[in-house]
Amino acid sequence: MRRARNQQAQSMKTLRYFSPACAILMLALLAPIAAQADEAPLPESAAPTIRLHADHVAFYYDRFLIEADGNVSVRVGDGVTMTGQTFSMDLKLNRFLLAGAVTVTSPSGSQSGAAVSDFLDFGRIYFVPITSEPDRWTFLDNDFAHPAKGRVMPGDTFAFPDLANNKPYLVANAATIVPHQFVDFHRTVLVVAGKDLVPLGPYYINFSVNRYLSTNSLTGASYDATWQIAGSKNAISAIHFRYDPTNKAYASFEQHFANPRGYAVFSINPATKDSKYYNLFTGYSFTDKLQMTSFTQFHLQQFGFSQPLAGQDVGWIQLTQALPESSVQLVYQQFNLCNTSTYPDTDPGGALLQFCGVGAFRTTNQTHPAQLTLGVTSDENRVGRSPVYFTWDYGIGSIHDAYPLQTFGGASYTTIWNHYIGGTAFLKNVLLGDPSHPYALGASLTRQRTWYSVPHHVDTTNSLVSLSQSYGPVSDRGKLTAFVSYEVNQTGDYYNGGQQLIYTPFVPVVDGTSYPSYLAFQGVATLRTFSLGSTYTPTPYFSASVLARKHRDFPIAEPGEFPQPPVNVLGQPVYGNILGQPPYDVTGTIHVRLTPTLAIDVQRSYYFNFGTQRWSPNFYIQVTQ
Amino acid sequence: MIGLFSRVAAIALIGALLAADAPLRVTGQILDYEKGFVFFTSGDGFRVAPNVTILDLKTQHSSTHPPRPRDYARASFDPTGLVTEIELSPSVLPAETSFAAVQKFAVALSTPAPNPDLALPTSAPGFHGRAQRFTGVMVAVRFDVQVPPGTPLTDDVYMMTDQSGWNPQAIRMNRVDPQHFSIVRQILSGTHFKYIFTRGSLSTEERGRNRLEVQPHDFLLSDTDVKVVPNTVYGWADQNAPGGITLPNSIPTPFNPQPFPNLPPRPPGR
Repeated sequence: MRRARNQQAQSMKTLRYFSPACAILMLALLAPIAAQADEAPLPESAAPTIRLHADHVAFYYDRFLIEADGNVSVRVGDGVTMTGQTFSMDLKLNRFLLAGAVTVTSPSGSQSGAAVSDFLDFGRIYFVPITSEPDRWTFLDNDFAHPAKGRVMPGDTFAFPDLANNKPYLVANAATIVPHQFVDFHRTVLVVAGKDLVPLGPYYINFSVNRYLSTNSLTGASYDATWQIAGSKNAISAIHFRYDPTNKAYASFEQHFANPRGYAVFSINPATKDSKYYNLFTGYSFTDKLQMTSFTQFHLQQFGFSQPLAGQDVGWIQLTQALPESSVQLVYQQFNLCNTSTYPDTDPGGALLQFCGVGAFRTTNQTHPAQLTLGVTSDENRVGRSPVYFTWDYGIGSIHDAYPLQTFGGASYTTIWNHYIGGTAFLKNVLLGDPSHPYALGASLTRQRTWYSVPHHVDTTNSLVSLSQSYGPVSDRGKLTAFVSYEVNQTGDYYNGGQQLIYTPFVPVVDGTSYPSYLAFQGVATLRTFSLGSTYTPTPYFSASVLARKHRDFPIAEPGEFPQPPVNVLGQPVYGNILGQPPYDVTGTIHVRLTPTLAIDVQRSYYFNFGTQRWSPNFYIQVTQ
Repeated sequence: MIGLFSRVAAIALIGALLAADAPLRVTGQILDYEKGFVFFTSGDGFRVAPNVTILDLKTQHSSTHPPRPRDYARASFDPTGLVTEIELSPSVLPAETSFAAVQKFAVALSTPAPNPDLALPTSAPGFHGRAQRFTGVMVAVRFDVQVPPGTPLTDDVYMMTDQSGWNPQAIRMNRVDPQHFSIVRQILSGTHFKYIFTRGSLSTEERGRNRLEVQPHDFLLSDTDVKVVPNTVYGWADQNAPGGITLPNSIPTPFNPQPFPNLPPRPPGR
């Protein structure tokens, strides 16, 4: 009991050290977003709020249409009320139609009629009144006292959309519509396979042009169904129901804030698993040439929302300043690993102990690596009038308290400084052969050298040349495309006078198997890839592609020799350019758009019996809505 | 012979008389039905005969309900312009007589007045003196994009648009070669939207020439036969930072500078 209390106290103590600098920084950065949330109007927000009530309100997500029937009541802003039998609104065109025994009540009085159509963006309300006989009136700029009588109306003023081939996404009995921003449905029921199935309560849908409200902080998933439970023009609260091959089914929570200059997004993902990631993304444009983005992540091992057993966190902030013909960027990253001491030696998630180590966990909980980089990158430059372009970059940086600390020549380096210089040259728009069906030639060469305060430098050289052809008429080029490419990536780690100490030749033995070919490796690796790719897109609703590659690498890849890289929740490697790739692989992908708003991707790779590898372990399946 | 001629003449005369009395029929969608008028979605209101017949078009029996907004209908007019019969249908009906033929019967108190809002568009600068027209014709539009060197060969490129709620995987593009992607879409002229390129997530959206966030590309389609829209991506957000950055739900790897992340384990003592 006492031990448990001690462990809890230790946990609380260590949790207090989660990136305090980053947390303070985040709060400071969030403050201007919150302060401006109400005062900074978004574009096109002048149109008044529309409050709709009806017996039946349906939303067609694929067409952004709201259709309502039965005892319809519409309140526009604070001054105009309209009633009728049927309502139809196109949220993208920002106009609505109300028809059937219509009554329009404004400060100027009340008038009945057959239909009224409000073109909100244009300040035009078209009305078919019935006095002694029908007539046609147009209210200009909401002047209900002085209708323009007899004025010719646009031909589609009173047209209903044809919905014969569309199904509603949800039904409700009321909605609050803020034009060009969002719609908030009340007492909603989600429609599944044409049936009103899932009662949801409130449902918020944003359709503003402010993309910052759509910024997310979640990882990829095979499937994600989002329930936006509340929102305004500056905020969205959402619950995500997700599936991926690693976590299986789970739920996540996400909270968005945004204004025209910035955003902040917080999420718990997964929220229903013991291994939880608490993410916070922020971004802000101080000026048109100075931007900031940041990210803070706590990874906690906790049952429910109880006291975490273990945790680690990472935070970074990135400042980018545009300069004439170039830009400068400052990046600071900080890591806290193994923050709690109560974590068991057995790791259910399998990831935390990657750095901490079984049994060594309690001795490494003071690891706080930090990384700082200041870099300058040029804009694209063109060499005369040739098709050759180039960029260059240079910078300085440091890594402090790297884990594990690097030792060399008997010294242990707690801080490693570095500086680098590099550049990329590439071709643009080089076409060969028949001008009506040309081949496109592509080529690029990237070189970089990084010097470290530990006496060594790393050279990287990436070169690629490709030739491609698109088949079909000009209007539909891209129906069938094919390319061939050859890529060479070389990485060399050079220790002046100490190469043999760091890259001591040895024969690895893994699971009893020796790999003598590795003996020749002394810190220089060369990866060569020959690729053939083709994509066939007979219709916009279907595409099939295949990518076949041959790798000829040094050190030579042999089955089981090199550790496999970690994979993300979808089973994909988290980084490329690894040693030990199978010599041959073929990846096929099929993309099918099932409905205008629903698509599915299916992908799988084949490795030609490399060791025990034939097919990739799983199909990569992704459903997008 | 005379008998045959007189019989043909009599039949022709009867046919002509029947044709003269045949009601004028139009089809359309109901906007409203009240106070002795029926309104169609053209906005026109027509006077209804006191003894109007309202039928279900399919069964030809009396309709169970009066005409309602959204109903499709076939209306029969007598020579004076009164609607004498309305046949209702829940689905779209094929056109019969042109609607223009009955619009002379539409009732409106006020004399039609011109609407300056509907004036033809004037020549727009940048279009060689031609006016931009948006008649809603279907246009084949090809979006091309050149991506920066270093874009992984195994990655896909997508367009996200304001019309799809900035879904980062809204439109998947087809790879042409390591540095080019393309997609063809049939789009109605007059369509206007904004878009940004991504590699499937907002963490991998495009960056501008100066490595800042880009303003969304603006697309407005006027009448044309074919349109090609070239684009260039200068960088990606996740490849933007020197030294690299950690993305959501990944375990950071703050090792000392190690250019080879997955070397085989050394034997003990080496």
